[in-house]
Amino acid sequence: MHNRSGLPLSAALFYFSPNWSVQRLWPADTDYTELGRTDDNGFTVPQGMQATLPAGITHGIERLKLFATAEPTRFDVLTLGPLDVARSVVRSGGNALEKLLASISGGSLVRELIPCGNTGDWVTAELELETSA
Amino acid sequence: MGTTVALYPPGSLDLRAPAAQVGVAKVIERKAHMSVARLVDDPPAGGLVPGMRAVIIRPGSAKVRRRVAVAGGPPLDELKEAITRGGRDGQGSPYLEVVGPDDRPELSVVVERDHYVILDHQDQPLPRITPPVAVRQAGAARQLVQRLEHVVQYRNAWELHNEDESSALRDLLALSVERVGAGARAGSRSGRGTKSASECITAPASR
Repeated sequence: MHNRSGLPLSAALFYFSPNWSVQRLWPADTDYTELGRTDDNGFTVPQGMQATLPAGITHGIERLKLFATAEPTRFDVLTLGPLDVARSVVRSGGNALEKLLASISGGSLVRELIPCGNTGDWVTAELELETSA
Repeated sequence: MGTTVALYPPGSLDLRAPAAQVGVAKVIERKAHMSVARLVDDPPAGGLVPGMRAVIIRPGSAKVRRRVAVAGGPPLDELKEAITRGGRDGQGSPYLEVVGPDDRPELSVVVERDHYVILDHQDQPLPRITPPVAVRQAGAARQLVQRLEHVVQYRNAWELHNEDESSALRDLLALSVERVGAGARAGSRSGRGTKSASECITAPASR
């Protein structure tokens, strides 16, 4: 993970699995943690990942998404289990960005678009990996 | 608020032609009957004139509901009903909006060999939607709605990013992956191909 902002940020890395689940990959034991300024080598996530394909599947897209914010923010409201597994209730948050995330994940606002409001500064980075047999 | 619009001269018919665009503005105030936008760059050569046309080029909002095309036929009619009235509060699904097949759907549902199939916007079946749901099995329509909602929740989270172009963090976050073992081929979405062991794969940009 590379933080070139020059500022320490609150961050969390999520794994968007081909089985349609969304899980926090890092940090493992808390909602978010500080990602300090990084050099060219970046910060290496301690957990390695191994991509495998289920029997009969010849192709998959593994997705990683890093969220980082200026203010401490929980993103776990975005997590999902695999298909056909009901979403577990995750506490919704207090700051504006957490409320926006809760609205998006909970579908609480019945309309196509919801205003983002003043959510403070935040940023994302994404990576997609293709796995083929 | 935060929506970005492109400005065109009065009477413009083609609001997608970049050459005719005379400026870009961001909405700074929104009222029931009007919105106020401020120019992002310098005013156009002829200044701002009454009757100029504006078209949204970047909505300042996050998408929650997705457009789902459901064609006709008894099994699909049942599915439509489940989407439009099957919410826990008796209202429609908060994630799904039923549209016609020609109305820019983001997802579609068809029946093939007596099973529901979910297609993407290019009419390709979504991967890993298993096991297939038979149209005649008990609760099939409700289960399919739950699957559609799950896919929308996944996409909403994946596509979520900060649209604020003035963000001080813009383009300052990145991800890279180092492949450390032999195995399947791996590559970035934008540059697929075989990567050698320990080769670093870098995400193109943060947003």
